[in-house]
Amino acid sequence: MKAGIFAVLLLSSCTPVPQWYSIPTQRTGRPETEPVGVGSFMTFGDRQASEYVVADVLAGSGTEVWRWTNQKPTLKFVVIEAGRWSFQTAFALPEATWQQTGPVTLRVFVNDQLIATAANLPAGRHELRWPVPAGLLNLKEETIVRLEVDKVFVAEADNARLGMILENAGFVK
Amino acid sequence: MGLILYISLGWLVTVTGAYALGRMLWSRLDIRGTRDEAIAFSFLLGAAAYSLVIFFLGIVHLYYRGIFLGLPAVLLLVAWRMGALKLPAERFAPLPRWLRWSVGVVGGLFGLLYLSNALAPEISPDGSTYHLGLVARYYRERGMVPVHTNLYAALSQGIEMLFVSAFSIGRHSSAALVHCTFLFLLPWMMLNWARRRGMPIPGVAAALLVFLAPVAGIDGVSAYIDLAAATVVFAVFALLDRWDETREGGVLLVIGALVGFSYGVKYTLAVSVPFALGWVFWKERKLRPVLVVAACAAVFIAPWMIRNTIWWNNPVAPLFNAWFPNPYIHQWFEKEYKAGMARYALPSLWAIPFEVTFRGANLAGRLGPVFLLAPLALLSLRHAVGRRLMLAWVVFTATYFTNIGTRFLLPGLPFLALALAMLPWPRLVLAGVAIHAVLSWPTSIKFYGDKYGWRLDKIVWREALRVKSEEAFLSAQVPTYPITRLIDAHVPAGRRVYSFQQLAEAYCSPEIVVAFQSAQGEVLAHSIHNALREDRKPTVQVRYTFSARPLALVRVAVNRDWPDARWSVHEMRIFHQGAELPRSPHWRVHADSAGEQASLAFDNSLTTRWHADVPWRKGDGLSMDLGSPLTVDEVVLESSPDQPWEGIVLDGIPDAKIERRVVPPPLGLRRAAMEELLVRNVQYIAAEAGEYWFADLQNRRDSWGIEEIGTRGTMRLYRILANHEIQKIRK
Repeated sequence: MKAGIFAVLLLSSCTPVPQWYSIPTQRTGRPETEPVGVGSFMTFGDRQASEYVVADVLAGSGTEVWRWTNQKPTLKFVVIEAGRWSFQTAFALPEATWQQTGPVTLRVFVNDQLIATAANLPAGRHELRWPVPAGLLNLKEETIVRLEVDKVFVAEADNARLGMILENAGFVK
Repeated sequence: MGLILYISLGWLVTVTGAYALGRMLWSRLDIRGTRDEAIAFSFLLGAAAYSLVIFFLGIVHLYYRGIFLGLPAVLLLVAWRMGALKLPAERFAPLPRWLRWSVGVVGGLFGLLYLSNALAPEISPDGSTYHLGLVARYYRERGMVPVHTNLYAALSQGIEMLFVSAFSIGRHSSAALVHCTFLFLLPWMMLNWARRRGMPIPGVAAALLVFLAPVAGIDGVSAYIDLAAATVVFAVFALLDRWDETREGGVLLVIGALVGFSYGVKYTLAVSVPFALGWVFWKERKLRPVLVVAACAAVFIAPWMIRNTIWWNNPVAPLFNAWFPNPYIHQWFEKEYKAGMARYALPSLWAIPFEVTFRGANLAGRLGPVFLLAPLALLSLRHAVGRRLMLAWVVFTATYFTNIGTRFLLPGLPFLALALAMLPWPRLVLAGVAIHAVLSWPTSIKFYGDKYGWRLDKIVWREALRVKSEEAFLSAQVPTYPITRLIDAHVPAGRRVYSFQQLAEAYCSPEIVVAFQSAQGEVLAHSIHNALREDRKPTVQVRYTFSARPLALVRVAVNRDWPDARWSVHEMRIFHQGAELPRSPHWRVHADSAGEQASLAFDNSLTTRWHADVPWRKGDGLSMDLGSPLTVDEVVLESSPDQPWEGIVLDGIPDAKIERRVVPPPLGLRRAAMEELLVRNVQYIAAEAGEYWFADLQNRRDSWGIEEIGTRGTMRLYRILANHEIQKIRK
């Protein structure tokens, strides 16, 4: 009997949480925290991703996390501070297009100067990074990066020339 | 060398306090027995009582080194004055000389291995994170405090109470030594039981099977609790068996105390309650002795239940949150956590026998290949004593499938080992023990076990005696130790650090909020996911439009059951003629599940979202009470692509037109997530390379509004900047 009463008391003490709650403090959005214009790194999927595109990146709806490119996807970045920067990019060479192109060679140009070559890339996802020679970046101004693939996939249906699937790119320390 | 003295002193005062108290209680109960039994049972009874004393010292915030030094001295003095330290003259017949020598050599070698590792700096995964992390926190706070950001703080902590005493003097290694005491005590108690039963050689064999088992070794030398748990339940069994023989009333009191203590040590050992009560009732067929055991057990169980009822709104937190809903631990998390613990990374449960005996990788440790012969224990069923052992094994292994880690087999292991040792071929049994000894030595394990399995590596005297630097050893052995040192150096008192993984909290002072360890941690994890993951960003709007009408209550609900789905809403807004109705402080909000988090759907933050804590249940909803009727013609749910939306309806307006739109993600989500951390008093982030947000944190520091403090190993520490600091930088 006593154990029963104890159990009832215990159980009844376990729902002190009220049912209805006040409207909480309203948060204020901070859109200004995202880089105005372009920054040092971009990811497709970010709302302002299109602002980085200079050429050869196919248009998207704005919600994809990757985009198809043509042969020479070109992007712009703005680096504010000096330092030992590297250029980093993540992209994919799909098996389906690679069957036609075979191994692909990627060349990376920063402000029209070749900084790196990745030869004979197999199909699959790649995440690559190369140091950028000092003085090559235009600090606080636009720096243009061009990625060139030596072969493209040509679609039979519309003759679209597809280079790679680009996920992100930019300068990192 | 001074450090070794402190470590030893911390251990010594703790076991002395327990033993002295145990002797006082045991001597009062007038229980007959041998000297060996008196010492072992007294210590265990005293450990239970001393743990309870430390519990209450924690409640009144009296965790001071002076108390933990003085109290055992006083207890020892009182015990001496009472004459309680005098031991019985009766002794067991000595073991044969060849057996004593064999046990001495094998036990001595493994004893050195164990003692050196227990004395070395504490490096175990759970010991360096939450077992001693919480002990260190309690000691810093001078008492027990509710730590709502850590679900492990809600578990019963009977052994951790003893750790507090040891830790106050000798820190981490002292606590590990206290646990190591049980590693030595358990085989001794097994041997005592077997000798009383007239089976000294099987007793020795079984004791060695347990003592030498690799998982018993590494667990026992760590600041864990499993060996203590196994010792307590074995003592319960041994005392029940003894009471069966003598029917001494005093034994029932000790059984009750140890049954209660077993709950205090580990929740899963609550099975000892029905086991003991059932045994006593079965044998006596009277209620009174059952009530005696139950009452004694309640003394040791009730404090934990009352503490948890007051601090966690749940007497058995962190479990059974569906029965005792609370804002600290999500039911959904509990469900997923239990499912994870019941499966680990095993492809099939049929892999368990090989994993727990040989490989030892996926289930964290191995018992040793000899235990593949466990089915032979069934032969013991031919004898009454064998049936008892097997019954106890079944009972104390019954909860194993709730967590299939190898160490969760330890409570039942002594019974299995004794049943195996009773096989009718004693020479074969002893040969098996010899093989077990060889296969359990660390260098042998390398030849058959997985190299990543949890195990001891070697005798580590240089580390134990601190000839090798403690700092270097910890940095090499505990992956998150270096970052905790950085945290300790840079994070001021009262500030908190957020992490997606457990850190070696036992080695730093600031509180670590781990993503999965609490409802609060989970809410913050969702904010970060919502800022980064495409499937979580608020890019979906479900709009319910209808002819304008006055509404005092707006409610959306799901119109069907869906066992695997969990629904969530980033924001719920109401409109009239295209303009949102500004939220009024007079409005009230409600959710049928996870009600205390309903406000997350009404806070105007697109990185927070209210999450139901149960699967879709027809009729469950999210409501806004507007106080008085307002004219409304549109309700909008802002949600994410991972959320199903068909089946969420506007209550009471069946003719509302429903439309789903995809919109671009809003800007500023990263910073909004950081502001949620700041609002919840979290000012720092520790992230590791390999975590999905690691690169983004580094590449987008401006967007997150963080600054890097430093890097240690593969981990990086950031400080979240306050808004005024960001504005200053921008200017």
